Amino acid sequence: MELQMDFEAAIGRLPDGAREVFVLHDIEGFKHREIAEMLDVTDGTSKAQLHRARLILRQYLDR
Amino acid sequence: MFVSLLAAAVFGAPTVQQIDTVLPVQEGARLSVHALSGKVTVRTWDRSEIRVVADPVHGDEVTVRGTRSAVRIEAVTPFSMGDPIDIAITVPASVDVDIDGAFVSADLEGVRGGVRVNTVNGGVRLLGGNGAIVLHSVQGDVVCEGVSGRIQVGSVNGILRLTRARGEIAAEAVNGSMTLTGIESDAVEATTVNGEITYQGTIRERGRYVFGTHHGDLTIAIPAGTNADVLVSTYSGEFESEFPVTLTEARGRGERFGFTLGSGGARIELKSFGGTIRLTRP
Amino acid sequence: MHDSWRDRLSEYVDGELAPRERAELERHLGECDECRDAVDDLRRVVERAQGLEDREPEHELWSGVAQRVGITTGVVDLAERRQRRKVSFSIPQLAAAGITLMMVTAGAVWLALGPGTDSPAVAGQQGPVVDEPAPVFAAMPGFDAAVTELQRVLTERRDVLDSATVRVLEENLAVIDRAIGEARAAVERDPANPYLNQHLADNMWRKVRLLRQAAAIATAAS
Repeated sequence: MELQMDFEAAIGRLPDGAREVFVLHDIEGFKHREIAEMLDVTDGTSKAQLHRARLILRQYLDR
Repeated sequence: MFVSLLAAAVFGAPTVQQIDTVLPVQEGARLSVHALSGKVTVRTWDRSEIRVVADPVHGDEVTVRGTRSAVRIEAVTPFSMGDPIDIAITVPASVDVDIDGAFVSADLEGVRGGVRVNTVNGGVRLLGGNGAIVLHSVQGDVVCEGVSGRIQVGSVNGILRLTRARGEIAAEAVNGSMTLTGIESDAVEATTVNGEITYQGTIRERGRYVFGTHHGDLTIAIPAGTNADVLVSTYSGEFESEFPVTLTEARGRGERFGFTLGSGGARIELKSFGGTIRLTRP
Repeated sequence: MHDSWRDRLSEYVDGELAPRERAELERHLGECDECRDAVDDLRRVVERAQGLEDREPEHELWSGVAQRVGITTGVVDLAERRQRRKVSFSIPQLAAAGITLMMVTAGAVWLALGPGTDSPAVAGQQGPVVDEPAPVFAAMPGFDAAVTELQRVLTERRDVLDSATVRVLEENLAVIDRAIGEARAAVERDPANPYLNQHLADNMWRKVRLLRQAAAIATAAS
């Protein structure tokens, strides 16, 4: 039984935009420019969502 | 009831055994070959017999077991990754052939029965064949010519080439290109992920022709006088046609549209996620 | 001053700051424990993420394969995937991921869903939509056989394939994954598009078939 949600489960629970960008950028390796085109957002939005995702996920790193 | 025949002769060094075996078979007999590595060559002759010639070395063994209606050849390599064993088989044209082996390549000519080949690292070459034709490789190319029946070909990393093929055709690849020429068929489905597809063949009025790729280009030759309903689907690809096209259906930013050639009839689906879809004159 | 730097830490970690900005931030990091800790954590998050997409061919074929079956923009239950890696890819879970993927390719409905998120099409639904039966499942003949085959092979054989074959299989799984990623992104932009949905489903099916082929090869090689 887990007292704390683990990292990978946390990815699944990220808010939609943040999750999409995080998976596309940090897992699948797309660049912000490519992600912006695929998701129809600006580069700035892509970067902001990525940062948001990472800040949330840092709480689920193994300590 | 099987009759078991092992290596027929021993030459020179005791580890060498040569097989040269002939078995009588009836019309439409089934031949199956299971090997690990090497080239399996199949040719035909007029006799009602199957002849098997092989030179296994290093203690590997080729066994040939058969009845008049079914012959099974097994090349067993007790040591892993043994030397390739080439097997030359001559058969009556009416046989039905089944070959499988991870490092086997197959070369068949003249067979008039069904042919099935399943390999990982070898290529497949088939000239002739009629009936259930299923040819699969992972690394190798699949090339067949003059086949007819229900044809299913696939390669993961290799190219597919079908020439003068008649009947239902299903072709699938991941990384390889596909060239289908001289096709006579009512039902063609060719899909790949990274490769391009070239089709030149019949477009029959009650036929259905589906071509799909993710990254590659589709180049489809349309015979003069074709009557077809065409549906083009793409995400970021382009469409080019060597003859004028009037849209009957359009959606999105040019992503999906339809048009009719002639008076319609055949169904053609052209799907490329990111590649160019091209209609040409033959 | 501190807050404005905090927003740019990811860009710093990704090397996207201009030289002068980078120099200024590094000066700030020299003085600010909080930001320095954040940078460390961000780097670790990125490393963890990259670990989920490890593709070295020397690794066990099935580790790469198992991870690929699970890679997603939120559809598959990721807790299940993590558990699978821990126990060295237990077969029912791998197959479950495959089944999951297949059961939910009926349409765009599932794409926006992760565990716990809402989708307008299934308002009120709790948990992953994977529990819901989908008509496409009944329409995929041979699927059960494929899953059984994967199960059997993965329990029996793992290390029997030569590295060239492993590499080809992994490369082509990557090709398909890439196509799946692009198709998925496209569907998320245009969820009602039947072509894109079908295209995504087709590529996921293709992936399962390649896995199946790999399983068959491993069997034959044993």
